[in-house]
Amino acid sequence: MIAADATPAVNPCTVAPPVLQVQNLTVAYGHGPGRVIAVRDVSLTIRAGERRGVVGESGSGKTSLARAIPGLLSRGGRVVAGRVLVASRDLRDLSPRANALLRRSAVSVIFQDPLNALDPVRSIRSQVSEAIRLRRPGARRQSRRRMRADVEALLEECEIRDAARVMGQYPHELSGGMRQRVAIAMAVAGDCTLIIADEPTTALDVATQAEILQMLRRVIADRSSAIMFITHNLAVVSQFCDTVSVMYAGRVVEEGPCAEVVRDPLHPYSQGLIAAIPSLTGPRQELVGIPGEPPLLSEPESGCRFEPRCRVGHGVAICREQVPGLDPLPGRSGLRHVRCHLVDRASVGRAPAPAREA
Amino acid sequence: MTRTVGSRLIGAAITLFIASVAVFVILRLLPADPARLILGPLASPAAIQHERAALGLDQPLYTQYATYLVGFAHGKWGFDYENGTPVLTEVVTRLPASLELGFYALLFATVGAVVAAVASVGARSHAVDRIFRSLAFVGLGSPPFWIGLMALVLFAEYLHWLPGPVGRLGVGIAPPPTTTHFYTWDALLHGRWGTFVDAFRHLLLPALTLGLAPFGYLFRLLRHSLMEVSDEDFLLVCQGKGLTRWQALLRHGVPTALLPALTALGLLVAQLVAGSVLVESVFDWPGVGQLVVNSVLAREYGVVQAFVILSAVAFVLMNMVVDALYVVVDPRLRRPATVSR
Repeated sequence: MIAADATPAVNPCTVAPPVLQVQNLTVAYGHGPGRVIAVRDVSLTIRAGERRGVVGESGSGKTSLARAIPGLLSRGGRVVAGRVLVASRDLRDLSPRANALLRRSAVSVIFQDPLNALDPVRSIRSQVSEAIRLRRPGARRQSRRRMRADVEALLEECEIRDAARVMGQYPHELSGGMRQRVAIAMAVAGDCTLIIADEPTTALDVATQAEILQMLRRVIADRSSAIMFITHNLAVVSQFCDTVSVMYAGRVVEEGPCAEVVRDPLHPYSQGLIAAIPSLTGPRQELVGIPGEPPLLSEPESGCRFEPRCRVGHGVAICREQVPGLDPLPGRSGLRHVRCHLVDRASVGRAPAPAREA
Repeated sequence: MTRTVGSRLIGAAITLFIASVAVFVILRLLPADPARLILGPLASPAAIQHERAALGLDQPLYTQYATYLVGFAHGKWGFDYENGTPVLTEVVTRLPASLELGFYALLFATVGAVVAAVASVGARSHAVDRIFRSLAFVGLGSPPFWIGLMALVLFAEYLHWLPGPVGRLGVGIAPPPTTTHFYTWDALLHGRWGTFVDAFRHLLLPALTLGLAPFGYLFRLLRHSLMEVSDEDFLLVCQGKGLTRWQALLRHGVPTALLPALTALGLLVAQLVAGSVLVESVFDWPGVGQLVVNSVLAREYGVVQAFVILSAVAFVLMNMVVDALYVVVDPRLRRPATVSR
């Protein structure tokens, strides 16, 4: 009676095979006393087809994380501990050549600033066809005519109007939104299993942002790629992603299904982030920011990094002395993790979360 | 576009005019009397007076200048009394030797600077960077004739790897048949391998010496622009596409970084011309530079004047070529930006 297709839909985020496993990753810049630990002991798993948002303020380590995964940290930055497994292979064990090969087929990256993302002296066609040659097996021996058609089709897929004309143009002749579309086209030229998008729409105006997000969502769905979507904009994440990791001061402080985290944030920092989003519906409310400044990452960590700004844990001894672990929270959907000693107290007073202590 | 070309042409004409006036006036201000030099110390005042009139030296300075300029344009560059030939003939005979030397010097400097800059920036190694930077400093900071002498002492005298300062070919080796006037090219064109090797060996030290200063200049320029480019996001994007760091640097970084270096080409030519004067003397290279040194010593002003004007022409031409090349190479200058949305 129970056929295979009749099984109830299960969340792909829990059963699909992982495409990316980051284990205890630590990224540092510089040496000695001025050394900055930008990413500290981060572990996360992204499964096939998952859309994962990574949210945090500037300096929370999200860009360093995005660059460390494909092995593209800028000068001075290096992975000091931990592993990055893509397609079950540890990137740190690979030669630069093998790493580059993996970037062709498995991980591709979209960067934040579309204005500098393209080679200024090569035509769009030359740059996109390079991506196709690198990313599609067998495209190397393809005829010029066929390649031309492929480039045009890819650009059209990324909603570039008048693709035939744009192909002959150079980056300086395109607007920011167009350049980002070209950059996305290059990133999805193959069928990468994972796309890392580092604030792909931050530099664009809101209307373009919405168009591009919609396009990106369609394009990755067509390829059934997973995406790691990095942004400081929680509103974008809540529209775009299945799961979310909130980062603060180089650590993941909360993780879970996107809808649940947005509806019912557990970490005081996530709560602050969500309180800072203006709502279009409902009664007028004053926006609440998070007081204080993010900590200096060059200073050693003792206790919870968020403690000085925390509305719950400020001045609490355990928060000042012990680094909280990223613990699973039983009793909910079983997928949520929070790094907070006082998670029970943190939910108090926040409707509609049940006051469990009482 | 026509406006740019027009303004460039006017600029070039002004540069040439100033150069010619400067050299003309300076040479006329020197105390030596050309008539006396030609006729010798024993000539009578009447003969000197007659020679001065024949040379036009009794005319006012601007008339002399006009006469000279018209003559120069018609190929009358004066007479080289030291060698007993017209200056034009003398310069034309010697020009190929200088051009060949200059060509190789520029080739070595450019190739060397590109390789060194890529290595310096790409290797992310302080040692490599320091070595090339020191070499560039030596090249820029030392007079080329001194480097030439030291190179001769080391490679010719002491190690015997390369021939000493004996000109373009070794004793007993006939020049190849003339097609391009470049010995190395002619030897290759006519299949004379022995001659090619000999010509190349003779050329190597002077060309390297002459190329060292342009190398230093070009290296520093390229290193700087490559550093800037290597921090640009698009190189990361290229690596994101699946190129290794070196591939991205070579395929996308170098072409972009080379653009600012193009501007330097005019300056490099100036450096080569200036350097060639002394380097050719040190290596006994039968080129124009050596002719100039000998002419200065013999007070043959016609040669010096022609040399300065020719150098100015070369400099101006090079800059115009660079401007034209820029438009060809850099798409950002090729057409006005019409932004597509």
